[in-house]
Amino acid sequence: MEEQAIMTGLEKVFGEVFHDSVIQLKPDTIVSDVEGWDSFSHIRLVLAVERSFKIRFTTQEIQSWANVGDLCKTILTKTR
Amino acid sequence: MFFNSIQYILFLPAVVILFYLTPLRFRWLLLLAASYYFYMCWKPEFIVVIVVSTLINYSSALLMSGTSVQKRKKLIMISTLVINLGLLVIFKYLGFIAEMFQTIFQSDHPSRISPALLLIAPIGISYYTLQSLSYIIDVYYGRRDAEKHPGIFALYVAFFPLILSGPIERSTHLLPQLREKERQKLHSVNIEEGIKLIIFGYFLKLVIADRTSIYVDAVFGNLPRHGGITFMAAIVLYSFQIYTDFAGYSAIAIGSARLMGFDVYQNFNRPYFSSSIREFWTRWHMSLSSWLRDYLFNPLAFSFMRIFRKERYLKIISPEFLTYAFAAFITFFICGIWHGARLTFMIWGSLHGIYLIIERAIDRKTGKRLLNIFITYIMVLFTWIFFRSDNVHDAFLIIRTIFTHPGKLYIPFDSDVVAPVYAVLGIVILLLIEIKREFFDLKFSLTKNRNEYVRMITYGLLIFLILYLGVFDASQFMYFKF
Repeated sequence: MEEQAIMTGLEKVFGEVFHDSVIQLKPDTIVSDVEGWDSFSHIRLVLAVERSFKIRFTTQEIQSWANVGDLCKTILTKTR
Repeated sequence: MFFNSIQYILFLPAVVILFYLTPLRFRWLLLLAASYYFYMCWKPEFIVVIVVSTLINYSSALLMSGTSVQKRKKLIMISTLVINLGLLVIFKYLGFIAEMFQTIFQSDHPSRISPALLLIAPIGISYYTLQSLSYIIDVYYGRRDAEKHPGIFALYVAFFPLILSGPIERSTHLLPQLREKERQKLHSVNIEEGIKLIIFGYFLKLVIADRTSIYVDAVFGNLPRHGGITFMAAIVLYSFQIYTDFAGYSAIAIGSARLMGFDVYQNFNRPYFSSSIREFWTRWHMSLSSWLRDYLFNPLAFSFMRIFRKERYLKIISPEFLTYAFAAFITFFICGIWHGARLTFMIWGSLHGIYLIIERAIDRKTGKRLLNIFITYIMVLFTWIFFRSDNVHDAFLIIRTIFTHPGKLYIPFDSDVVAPVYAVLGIVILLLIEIKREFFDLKFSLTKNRNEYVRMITYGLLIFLILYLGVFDASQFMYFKF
């Protein structure tokens, strides 16, 4: 999967989780940039991303993310 | 040496002056020496615990970064966590665990705990342990490199403004600052902001917290004598006592660091104006709550996610909610234990965990902010009953009395009568400041006024209030004991 396609897929998942259809993600987007991104929505987000891309993250992978770019990279390595 | 002692009033300016006179490359040494001296003023022997803990964490991080074998890395990380937590348990919880075992297995014998088990916990151990743990976990997950300079790392662990009660810093935030040359240059704005924070901190501690404690202690020291109305007054005053005591400490700590150009995490952000418990925990003891979220709640949640993701077992409750509920409850239960080995703290933490779960389940949103603030405050107030009581029996006595025996409001008609009056005066001033900041986006500010005379008069007035209304008995800050 290409990086751009992943970002588009992520925007769709983010839109569903945060009820924001016009959400625009960048690689340096962080938690505080997205309204409503708290502990609970983070759990929902991880599960939704796993379902959408049909992958599973390890705790190590989840813990190493600092921004959306890191999440995208993990998906990229898992879907190659 | 506590922040509200004469020694600290002399120590701090001396360190700041020496800091700016010392060449940049030797400043870490000056600050480390000052930090160790500051800590040793309390009990010199406990510096050994800090030095041992520093050496272990420093070496472990270097070992982790020196290996590419994932299993070995994990083994080092887990061993280091066990050692850190082991030290915490030995000093903080051993007496409690021994007492618990004795109660369970020899309940017919009078309680006799070996004095060797009743160790005095080194002050600040709960705080510098969490700070060190975050460093080890960050290095393990590759969020930062291992610090190679042992002196800089030792300073990160023992930095004197933060060593006693935080704010709990992160290696990704504070460690880089200890090397930044530009930051450590003398800027008048840092000196001014630092002094302002320190003055405000002393106002919170000496005027509000210490005046309030006189009434609160009198009530809690003699529970059977008082009725429900007095208990309600005491709990409301206690909610401000604990807030201003810790927020006062935090302001002095942040201000002290700021004098030398260091930017330290904020710990409080007008917590009693929160519209929900969830919001409360983003505004109360923020350095602890964010630590718990990142290093306890998240790993727990991701582990539970694997267990609960099998949706076929769950028809009504979503896996996300179940994951959240388990992780939130355990996190807040441990948050309670972190405050001390007492059942009352466990109940306090558990109540907050339960509140969060209920709040998430019903998704309370009335739209009326003031009502939400009021409900949240009452919920928090209820938990303070357990937090302040010496034991569970006392807490339930207070709750029962509130509902069954209102009685009359206790007014101390002796020399202590002025204490609650001054305390209430201080609380009113604090609330006016907080209401203005919370609800009115006014450009006008006394403390940040463009006119320096207005600023000076404001802080002069605050100093006058501290000197006139403050309590100067160098009483301990409450959060030191946690």
